[in-house]
Amino acid sequence: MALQRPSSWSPAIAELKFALHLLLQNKVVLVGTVISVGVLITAAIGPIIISPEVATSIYLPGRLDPPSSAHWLGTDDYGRDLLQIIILSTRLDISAALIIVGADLLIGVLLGAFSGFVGGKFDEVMMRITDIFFSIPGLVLALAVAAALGRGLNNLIVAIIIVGWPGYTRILRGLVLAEKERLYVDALRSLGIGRFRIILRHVIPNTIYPVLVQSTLDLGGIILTFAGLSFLGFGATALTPELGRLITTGQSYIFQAPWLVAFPGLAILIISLAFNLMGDGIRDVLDPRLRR
Amino acid sequence: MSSATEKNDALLQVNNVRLDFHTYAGEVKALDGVTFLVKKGEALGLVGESGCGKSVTALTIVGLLPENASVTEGEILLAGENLLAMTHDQIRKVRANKIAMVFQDPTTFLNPVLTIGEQLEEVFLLNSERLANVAAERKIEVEAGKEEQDTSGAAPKLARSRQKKVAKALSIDVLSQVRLADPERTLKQYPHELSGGMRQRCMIAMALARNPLLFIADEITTALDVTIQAQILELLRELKTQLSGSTLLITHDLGVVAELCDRVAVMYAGNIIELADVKELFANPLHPYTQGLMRAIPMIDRRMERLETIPGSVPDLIYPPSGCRFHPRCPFAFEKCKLEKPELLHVGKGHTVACHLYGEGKA
Amino acid sequence: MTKTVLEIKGLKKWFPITGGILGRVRGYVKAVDGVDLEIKEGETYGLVGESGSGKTTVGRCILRLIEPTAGEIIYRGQEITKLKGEAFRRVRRKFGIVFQDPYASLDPRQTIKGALTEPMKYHKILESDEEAVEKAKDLIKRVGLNEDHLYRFPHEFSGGQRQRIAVARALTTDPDVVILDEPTSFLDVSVQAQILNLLSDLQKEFNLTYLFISHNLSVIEHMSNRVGVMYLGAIMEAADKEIIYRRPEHPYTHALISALPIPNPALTRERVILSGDVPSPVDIPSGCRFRTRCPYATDYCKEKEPPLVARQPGHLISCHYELKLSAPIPLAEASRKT
Repeated sequence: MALQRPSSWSPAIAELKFALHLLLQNKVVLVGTVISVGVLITAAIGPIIISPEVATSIYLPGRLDPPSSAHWLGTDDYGRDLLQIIILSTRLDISAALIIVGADLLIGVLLGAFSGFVGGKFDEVMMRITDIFFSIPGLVLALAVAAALGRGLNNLIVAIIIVGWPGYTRILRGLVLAEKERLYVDALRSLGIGRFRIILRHVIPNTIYPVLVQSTLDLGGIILTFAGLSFLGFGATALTPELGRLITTGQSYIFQAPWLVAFPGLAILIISLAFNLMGDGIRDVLDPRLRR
Repeated sequence: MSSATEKNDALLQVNNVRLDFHTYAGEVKALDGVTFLVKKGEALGLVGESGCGKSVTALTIVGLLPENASVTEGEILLAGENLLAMTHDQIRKVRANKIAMVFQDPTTFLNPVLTIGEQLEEVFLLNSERLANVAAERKIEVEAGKEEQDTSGAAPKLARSRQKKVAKALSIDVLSQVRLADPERTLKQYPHELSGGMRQRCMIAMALARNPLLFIADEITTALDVTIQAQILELLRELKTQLSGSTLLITHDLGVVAELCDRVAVMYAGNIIELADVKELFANPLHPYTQGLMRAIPMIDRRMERLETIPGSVPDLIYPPSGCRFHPRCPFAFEKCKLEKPELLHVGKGHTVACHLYGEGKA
Repeated sequence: MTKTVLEIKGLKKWFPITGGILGRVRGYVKAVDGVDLEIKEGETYGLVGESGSGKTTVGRCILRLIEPTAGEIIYRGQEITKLKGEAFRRVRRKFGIVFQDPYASLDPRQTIKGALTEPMKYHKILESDEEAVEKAKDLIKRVGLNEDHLYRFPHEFSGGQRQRIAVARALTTDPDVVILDEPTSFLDVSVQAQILNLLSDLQKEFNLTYLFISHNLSVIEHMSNRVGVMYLGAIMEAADKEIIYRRPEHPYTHALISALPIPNPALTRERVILSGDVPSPVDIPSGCRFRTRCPYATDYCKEKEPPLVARQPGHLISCHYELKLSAPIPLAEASRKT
């Protein structure tokens, strides 16, 4: 019997290829994507190329040196080479952001899917809880939670995770509400297949794309939030290479050694901008296709 | 081909039209030399399954094809004028006055934010110069004011306010022509307030409003319930006797064809493969596809143990079969069928068929 | 005397309409409003009706995809309307369903192999993966496709092929009763013929009982043994196919059959054209629900709803009067063989 297409690729792979193809056509998005990938690579291999001991090697005679051929971006107040420290910090910032987004996705997708599919009291309760979270500005809430948990990197990460999951929950719930009306869900129910399996194995894979897209957009913002709260004193401690922390210490020397604030700030800007652009591009590409 | 007398009788002549769609996957050769004619005053049924090109043919006639379609050959003559050679404006005029087309889904055809009255009036007002003439045709009283008297003696051109009044009267008239119970009330209603059958009647009314030469109906009863469909078919039957225009009825339902049409053309994969008077076609189907089609349909007036099926499936029109496009599925196919595409041949009694089994050179 | 496999008594499904600020119930869409039917083993019961008749809702209620508002569903003597949990899952396996839309009834991200083996593995019908795959191969071949089609995705198939897959999937749990909800409405005529033939063959091979729901009178006539005619949520007439199509006694059945265009131009017949439109299921006429369009309605029809009773054995009808109606299809033609 004649089939319509010779390909036997899974729809997911076909979509990915198509998305990639479209992504590469917008110059701005392309730049963002390239930079984002560059940042990810830096984060991955940075600590391998530059020994982490650099973070703890204090050399006070060389502190606060302006940019020179020896130290391209100058030195900080511990005498550490700023460029190396910035490279090392990307690992921290990026992994923190990825962990946060990943955890939020996990929690949000599961809670949102069950909430939307099962409905009833569980859904009601979920909606009210997320409403409460939405009524408080994110940054403020993160601050409050971080303060309550105490200083420390892990506590900061947990604080931002707590603030972020309701967003994904609501998005996914909306998508699941629509998806559960589709005929194949009825078909699965008619076969006696239980709700858990339908949600995990069928509904979630079919609705997760928009949320994944949203998460790439969020990555940029999360990096900013994390660095920002670190700047305020939560999270990283003095010597830990982290971009927000660098600005905290840098602000004391802003007139003597402006590079201490400028370069880490610029790094934060570039990283979050790059992820935003990439996320934008992904959203533009996938959005019309998501309206199936 | 058609005889001289047939040609004189013809309102619409479609001659050897070839049409391609340009798509990412390739060139879809949707119409492969479509030829048929519609006589004055008759109802011709255009029958085929999905993908055969019947709707595309209709869209080609009215010039409503999508951007990626191009007619590569052929002509379509409406009362002698070639529609395919016309400019945009000319085609628009033709669509406004001479051809009316009604589609399957009245919901998407009717504007949901305008009342029926507004939409009907729009149709009449499109042609405001001729409004007085149209009113006269329908025997509706029109009085021209002093300012409007045309000294040249031609029909008076009406002032705007008068136009609206006349258009409204005409709207009511045409709605009663399609047997709507309360035309005045319907004028004020929006499409979503009406039932499917009523919307279909409104669509037909909008088509009739122009008193067209050619009325094209594309699957207009397919989406309707059986009892409502019966009402619409009854209406069409009545209108057929009342109106002088011709009808091109596109459908996949052979029952509808049997009820309404005088002649029937059967389409397959972009070709007309058989054409005959309706009684003749049902009594004596010649083309193997037509025969297969009739045997595949469960018909309640005869007993069938198993439905006979046509093996295989409709061909991919990007890579259509060589020669006769039906040959891969045809139980009677022989060598010639793969090599040469059969022409439409007249085999008697106004019955034409495109198949190598008939005419000269048969196996 | 063949056994009754499925019996439905007084089935109702009312959908509440909420409105106003407080969300109070303003009325009900009475999609199914008291349906009785009985299907015997191995037969095909054709449930026919126009849009709004409630026939699709009946199918969904049987499988409890929608919970009935009232009434009983009895499967082989066991009342299944209120069953829950494991007991219900066991019963549900005995039912299969094929839906109308072949383009929407399969998960687009699941291979055919996954779609067919999932029910088997979930219900632990078969012990191992290999056995499930073997059975899937068997079923896919039985519906006319190839083994390697198992490794493809739904989008690679045409409508007719997807319906075959849907049929195969319905058979994975070894059902007893298969509900066919307009299985060929979206398909072309020639493809429809293939699917209908397949369904007939499978019925004989697996001794299946079918509830065939459709608005297409020709298809129902071809496939069914018994036919039930629904209008606005209730059954107007139910009898053997011959009677429904040749000698109906309910005016709605009569109008329905005579409304059908027959592909035979040589046939002349008397047509009954009903006036008006179908009333809304929110506002069902008092007394007999068909009276607003019935050419024979009287004042009494306004007052009392006629019960569905058996005038002769096997011929149920819901009408106050015994009407002698003409044959909607001329009997002389009816005896013609192909």
